Amino acid sequence: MQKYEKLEKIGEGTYGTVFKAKNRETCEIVALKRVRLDDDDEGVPSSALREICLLKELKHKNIVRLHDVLHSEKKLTLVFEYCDQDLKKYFDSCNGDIDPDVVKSFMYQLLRGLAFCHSHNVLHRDLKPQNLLINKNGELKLADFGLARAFGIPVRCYSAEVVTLWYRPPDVLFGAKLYTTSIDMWSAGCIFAELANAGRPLFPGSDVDDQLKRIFRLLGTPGEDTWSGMTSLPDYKPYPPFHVTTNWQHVVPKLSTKGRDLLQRLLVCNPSGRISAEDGMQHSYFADLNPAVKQG
Amino acid sequence: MRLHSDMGSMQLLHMLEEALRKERSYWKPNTGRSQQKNETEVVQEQRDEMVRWLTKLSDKFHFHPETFALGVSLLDRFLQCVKARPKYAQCIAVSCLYLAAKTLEEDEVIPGSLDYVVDSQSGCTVAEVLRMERIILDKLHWDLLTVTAIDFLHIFHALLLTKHPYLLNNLMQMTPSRQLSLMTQKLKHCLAQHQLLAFKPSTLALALVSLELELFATNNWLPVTVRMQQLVKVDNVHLIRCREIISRHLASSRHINTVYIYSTLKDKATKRKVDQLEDEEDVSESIKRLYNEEGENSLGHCGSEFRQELDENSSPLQAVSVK
Repeated sequence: MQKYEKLEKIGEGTYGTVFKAKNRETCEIVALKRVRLDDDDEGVPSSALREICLLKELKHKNIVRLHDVLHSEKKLTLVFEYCDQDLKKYFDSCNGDIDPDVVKSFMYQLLRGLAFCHSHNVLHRDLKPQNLLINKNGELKLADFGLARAFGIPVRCYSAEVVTLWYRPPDVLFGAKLYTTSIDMWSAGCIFAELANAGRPLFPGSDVDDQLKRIFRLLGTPGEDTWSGMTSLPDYKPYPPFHVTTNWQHVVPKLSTKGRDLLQRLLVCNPSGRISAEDGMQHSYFADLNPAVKQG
Repeated sequence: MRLHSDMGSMQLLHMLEEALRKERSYWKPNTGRSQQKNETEVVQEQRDEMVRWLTKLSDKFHFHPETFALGVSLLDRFLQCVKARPKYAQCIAVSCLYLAAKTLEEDEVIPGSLDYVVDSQSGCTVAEVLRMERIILDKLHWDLLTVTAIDFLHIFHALLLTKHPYLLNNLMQMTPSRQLSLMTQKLKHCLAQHQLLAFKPSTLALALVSLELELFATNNWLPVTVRMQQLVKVDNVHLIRCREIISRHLASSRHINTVYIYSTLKDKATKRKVDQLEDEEDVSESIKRLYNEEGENSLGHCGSEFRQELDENSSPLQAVSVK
């Protein structure tokens, strides 16, 4: 690894160690994601392969840029643009208080990055604060596409083993394998609430059962009338009928009325009722968004 | 029907556009080497043999048709940019399919490399396959997500279902999923035909769909083909030529044994088609769930819109005929 000088370890991704490094020629700071290939005989891991193929096609200001791939017999190194921190660390550093304009800006950028993925037929499938990178200029970028996949006409089932529990939508919790872009919109909703509450997760469930209970306690237990097909999902089981008594002002006290409206359009149990990223960007909550963010 | 709630026709058209954009960005007509006996390079006939072998491998590992088609696409692109010796042909082919599986299959389905190499009976070692994997990735610059004829077939079929349900309603004992799986089988056979490499994947898929329509929907196949032809922007000459090669190939194919049974039903001659395909039912099962075919029949509501569209755009294609 002559081209880059390793500076420090930043963290562990789903399939490799991430380092901060400097390009010796240009002095540009980059992030290196390093995958060791020598201790198994599997060749390039599927997650790395998908991440590379997908990111080569997804060039957008709200998606982390893959600069280069270095591939030798012993290791595989992905060279990414460097971002200062992820949203999780950002939460830790802001002591329970995030400016509402920052919440709005981050949420808009999240939706814009997602809209780009979805219009290029890519599902992220693992949205969570750790996978959203933030740089000094307040730009937010989607990262870690190790679970992402290209999607086509839904003539086939996908894996139900996707999305970190807290951000996993109820349909996937019930074992749904025929899902589409709506899978990411649920996670975006969870992240929106977490942003508004400066880092307090909305549904920190301990297992699938607890996760569903937390969701239904807040949104009410759905029935076939609002979500047709729910009871025939592979892992469906009935839950006590929680009735909606939610006072959203209590759930996200710092979020404006319009923000709460957008949140409720994202957090819809029935996947076909969830707002799309494209439509979400048009929501009136963003009407007074800083024009500099809107133009990017 | 599920497809309707998840994907409107606008979304399908967007998907088609996106697929066409991708196709334009990488596709070039195959300038493959053939005819002369050449012992230092993989020739077209060998390529076809490899593809037929990949069909079997792909079934063995329960890969999806998209994966098989991507594997073939990688194989063809790789053979276009390197001169490969015949003795490496199997290793290249088996590595291409493995890369396609890692790209498109879910982790639960992808076999470990040792199992894969042993079960494929390719005669190469894990180390050889992984070395080849590296060479292929390097030569193709890691651009593996190309669009294939199978992807186009799925889009065309979904478009037909949303916009032309009446074409499919007439079919006796022919559910949409059955029809799609039949067309998929035929397309897989076509992929093992190097003459068809001269055509874009979108042209190949459209030619096959239009042949099927002609078979099943006698009165309407032409305007529907023309409409789809406008979407894909392929000229008559190419489409006709492609149709000819496909029908010649399928007619001579020993694998697809097609029998037509003509029976009179309600004063109308109805063609019923009996295809003897080994594992066709397997394919149907997975697709059936999607189309919610158990009992439901809600294909109808978008039909008229497209019929109108057709009337406005009717510029009948004169020359399309086969034999």
